[in-house]
Amino acid sequence: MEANISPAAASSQLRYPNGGLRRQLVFLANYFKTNLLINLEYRVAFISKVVGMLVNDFIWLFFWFVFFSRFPSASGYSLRDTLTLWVVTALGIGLSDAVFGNSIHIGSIVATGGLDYYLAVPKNVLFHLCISSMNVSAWGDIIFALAAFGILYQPDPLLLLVVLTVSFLCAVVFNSFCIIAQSLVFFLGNSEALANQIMFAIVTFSTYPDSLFKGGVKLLLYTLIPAAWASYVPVALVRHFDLGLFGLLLLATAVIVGLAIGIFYAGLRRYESGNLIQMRS
Amino acid sequence: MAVAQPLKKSSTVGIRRIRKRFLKYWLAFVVSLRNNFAYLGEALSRICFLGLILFVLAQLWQTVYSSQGSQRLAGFSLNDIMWYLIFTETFTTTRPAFHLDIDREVRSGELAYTLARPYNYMWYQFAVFLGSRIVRMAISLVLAALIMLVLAGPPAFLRIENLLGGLWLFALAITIDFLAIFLLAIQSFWAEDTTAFILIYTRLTMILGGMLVPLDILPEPLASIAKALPFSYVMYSPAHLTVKFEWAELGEASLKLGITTLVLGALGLWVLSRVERRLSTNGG
Repeated sequence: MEANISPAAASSQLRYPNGGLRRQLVFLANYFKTNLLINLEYRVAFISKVVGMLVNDFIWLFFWFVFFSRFPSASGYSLRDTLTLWVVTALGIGLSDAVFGNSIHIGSIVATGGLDYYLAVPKNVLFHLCISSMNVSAWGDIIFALAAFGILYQPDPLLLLVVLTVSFLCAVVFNSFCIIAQSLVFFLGNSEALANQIMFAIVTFSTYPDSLFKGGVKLLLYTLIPAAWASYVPVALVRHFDLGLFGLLLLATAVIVGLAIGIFYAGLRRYESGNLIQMRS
Repeated sequence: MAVAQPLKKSSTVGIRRIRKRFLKYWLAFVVSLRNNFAYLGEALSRICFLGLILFVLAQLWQTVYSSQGSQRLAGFSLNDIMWYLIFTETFTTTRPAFHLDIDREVRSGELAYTLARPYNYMWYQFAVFLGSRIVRMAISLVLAALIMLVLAGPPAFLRIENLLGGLWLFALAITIDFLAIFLLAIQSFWAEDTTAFILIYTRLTMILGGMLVPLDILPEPLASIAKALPFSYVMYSPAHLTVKFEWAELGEASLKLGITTLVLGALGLWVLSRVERRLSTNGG
């Protein structure tokens, strides 16, 4: 079986996904609910993973607290700025992993022939692939981000709206970049390790103040590893909202999403099934 | 002559027994060592991540030193810190995820068959872990050192006592790290999922173990508390001794790490015996 899907057809499939946006959202909501219920079935595992990630995030918070109490003026960032960076990034990654938790498995699914199932189902392949599992520890990130926001800022509905909006865009950038990294499997063969390294790179750069990086590295963070669009620009918007910068962020997000869809479907055209017969658990 | 013969015979038999007892672990270690040499690509992909982390931390510490306008912080030059980070980061990024194997074996029930085999489960896991750890650490350390030569220049501590003292403490630290993770992973016999325990342990060693910052640089009383806690034994103690060697520190750290190894080892064997008692198998 060879997937003969042109980018144009893929784009049309995304715009009119089997009955329109509403049906696709219902599909997403049903998958999300089912994923959550499946994970809640193993309640102790669910709670321990969420608590584990929550503790992990708070330990990082503690590190930055200690760091800035020792070096208050280093890196041009304040403790508050760094914590905002963590709020936005944790919420962005959390949302991406909770809703599109399967994106990170695309490489292994393609490599092991598991993509055939998604090709046979009359749904948008990429969308279906991304939403079909949930990373439970994402809830730890989400709870951490909301708790840290509550601690950091006084109750301010307008600021909360800004944080939620930019974090949503951060989630979209993360997920799109993850799709791009995982799609390398179509071109390079089994490249899971490389894809994981690329994802580590964006997460690492996103959680350190951007003032540390200069010159060529900074350029890299706005282009090849778009950590700037995932966290630095969103944080700048939380610090001081600017409509022009927000428009630029929307544009950059749209470009990254377009690239992710284009690269995935260009890769999908090269995909050849191994005709693997398997039970889907 | 008549007395010496039986003594010689019994000592030979004793040595044979000991050899026989440890041969299986030695073979497991050698197989693990060879397996890890076979997957050098994986080791190289790991070095990409390590290189990235070292680059980010180099930027962070260069910024800190330039903002402080000082050549030394708590006795550490920038060069000292960068080489200290090589050891702590290599230690962290080359830790084999053997806890996932234990978790899988417990969940699938495979452990019942494994425990029935004629070896001690903990020592067998340790032999496999050690083979993997040594190859990963050696390759990463060499490549990371090359990266650090570019980022920070040659180390200022290249003396035989620094290297041998550091090697000795790292050997103990690797054992402690294994035993701590083994003890947490074997909890999967009682808990549904132990990955969160391991995550919290690794994060505690990250902050309180001095992975990102030498503990001397932390503000007081946090620095003293962190140094007193066992989390500091796995990374801070060996990395600090390698960079800033002192005979007194070697003696003190050897004692602390040695006692911790013995306590955790005894605890591991005791927990394993409880696991074996709890184990029930259904034939079929």
